[in-house]
Amino acid sequence: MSFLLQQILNGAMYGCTYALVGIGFNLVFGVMNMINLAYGEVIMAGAFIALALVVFLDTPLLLAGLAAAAACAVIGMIVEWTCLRPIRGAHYMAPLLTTIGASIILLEIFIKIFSTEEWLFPTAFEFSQIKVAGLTVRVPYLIILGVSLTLMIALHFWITRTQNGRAVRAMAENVDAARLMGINVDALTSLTFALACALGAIAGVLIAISSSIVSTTLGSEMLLKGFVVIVLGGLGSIPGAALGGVLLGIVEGVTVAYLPSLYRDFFSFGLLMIMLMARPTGLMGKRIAERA
Amino acid sequence: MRKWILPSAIVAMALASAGAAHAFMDEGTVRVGHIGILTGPGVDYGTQVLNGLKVAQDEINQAGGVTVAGKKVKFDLAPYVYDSARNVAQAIALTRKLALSDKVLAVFGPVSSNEAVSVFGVLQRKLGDSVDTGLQLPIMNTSAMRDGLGEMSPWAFRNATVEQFLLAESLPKVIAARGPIKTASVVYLGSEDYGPAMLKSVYGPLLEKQGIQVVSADGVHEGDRDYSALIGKLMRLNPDMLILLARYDVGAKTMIEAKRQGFTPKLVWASGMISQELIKTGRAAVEGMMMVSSYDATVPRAAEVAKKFKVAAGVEMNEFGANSYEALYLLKAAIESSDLRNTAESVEEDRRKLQAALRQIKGFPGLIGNIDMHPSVNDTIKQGLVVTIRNGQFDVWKP
Repeated sequence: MSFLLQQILNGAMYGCTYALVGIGFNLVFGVMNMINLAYGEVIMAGAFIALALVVFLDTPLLLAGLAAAAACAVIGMIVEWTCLRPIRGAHYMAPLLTTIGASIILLEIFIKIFSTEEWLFPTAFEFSQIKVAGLTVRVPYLIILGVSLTLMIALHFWITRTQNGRAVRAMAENVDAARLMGINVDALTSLTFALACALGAIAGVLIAISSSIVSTTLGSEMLLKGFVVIVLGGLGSIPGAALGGVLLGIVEGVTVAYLPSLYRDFFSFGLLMIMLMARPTGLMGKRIAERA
Repeated sequence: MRKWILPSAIVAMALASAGAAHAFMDEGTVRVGHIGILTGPGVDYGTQVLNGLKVAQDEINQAGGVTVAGKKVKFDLAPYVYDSARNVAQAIALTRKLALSDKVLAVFGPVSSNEAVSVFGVLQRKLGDSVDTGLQLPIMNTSAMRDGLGEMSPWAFRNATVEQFLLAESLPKVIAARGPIKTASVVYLGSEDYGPAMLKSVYGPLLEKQGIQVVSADGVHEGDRDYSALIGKLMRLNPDMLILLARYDVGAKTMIEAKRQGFTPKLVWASGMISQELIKTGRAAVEGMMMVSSYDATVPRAAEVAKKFKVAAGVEMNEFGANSYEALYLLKAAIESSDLRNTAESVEEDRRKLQAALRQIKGFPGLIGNIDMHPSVNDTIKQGLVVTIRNGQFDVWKP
């Protein structure tokens, strides 16, 4: 029993990184109805920027994480300005193509700088762990949990209780109406992209410190996880994405612990299929009428 | 702008065809190609293979080159080095390009076992079979360790560390020294069939012979980062031995997590992981890992080559670099013994002669001992030794 609890705990804690990835993705895709396939590479960029600052410039980890978030916020705004703003209102395939282009450019830049090898992301607490009620808790996982919960609560507060958050939701409902109501749609879109990408960067840094390793394949893996998380949790729902991420982490962890590891994706994507059939709105998504 | 497109295209085509005209003996070189991993996962293997070839090429060319039809010509790999990025489809396409368009005499590569299985599959299966339209191109592999590759085609050769020939002698000694070992768990890379194939054909029968039961075999996904559940499961199974049949990056990640959770089996055996990247990433976690190798840096001749390799590549040479270094010399010996004409018209005939010469390799002086071609398959028989990671270095293990 304690073995199962340990796997659930590990899965839930690592799943918090999926939750962060999903929340960032949900902000753009779920809330604003815009697709940004460069999001995965922004996560990878965040991890590498923090790595470079920590390893080459001896920057403290916290500062490096914040700098990576800031840098990725800028990258997010650039992606929005260059890949999405000029084609607003175009065919739905257009942003898919432009953001795939942006993701390829980002990936190639980081491959040029860091190569395709895996890089070590050493931290002082890499091997630290504590015992709680017979369960082992890794310190990196605790950091993931703390940072993720803080960010999730802050973001939920921002989107539900602040003027800007309400404006973002209004834009999601009807951009033209929001503009007529005096909302600065362009500025708010940029802000949301920046916020989503900053979250992605922090998720990238957390994944890096948890596994001690960073590579340029991180982005594509996380993009897929992000999709799964938001479908599980519900499009547009921040608590839903948090729940979806944790659930995905637990399913992955428990599957690997009890079955051959290669069944992992079968079960996580199986769960996704079941969710789509049984509850297409996801765990916490709301059914809304489509605009005419 | 548009008016320049047509003239530019004509000039480019003219230059390209001019290049094709100056070929073979005319250009004073032997055309040899290489399909490497220059980008993507496992690039460290690719770096070793390419630089092993380059060091040997520089030595041979500085010594005058290779004698063909009574003339000294040089090796010039550079124009025919291509990157497969560990992609099977790309490796096959590049093999066809090298054979049919570049018209090279022979090819080195591809680097990974996964690619090698597929590339060897497009070669002719039986010599002289007019119905078989497979490529008739000698390919020399120096890094793929999967069993059975040397049997796939008469045109596919290997000067690699072929574990199927080396383990029967080395692994039982290690098991006896670390024993008693009754159970083993296997971790392999799920996206490639190297692990399952080696487990089924090489490790499985050998372990069974030793009375060792395989209690689990887990494939990990490409790019997996969290190994906590996997190691948690292995700790619960508590095998005496952990066998890693994967790339060095998978090995490092597995061992880092094992160290985190305090999983310490009596023996950690790895296959295909000789790479400085394993030590660089795994650090203390990979200390004590064991594996079979065909390279010993303490042998004076190997040490001398290793010094040149370090200067050329900026990294320490390992068995993949050493095998590749030897392989170019093997090719040189085969070329010089096979009366080639080295012209555009004779390339197919030259390839046939080269294939026959490669089959005859015997008593060739390798870096740590003599090399013979296996009597029935196209694998060279090399000396094997067990190495372990000690103080951040690969070190020869002695019982």
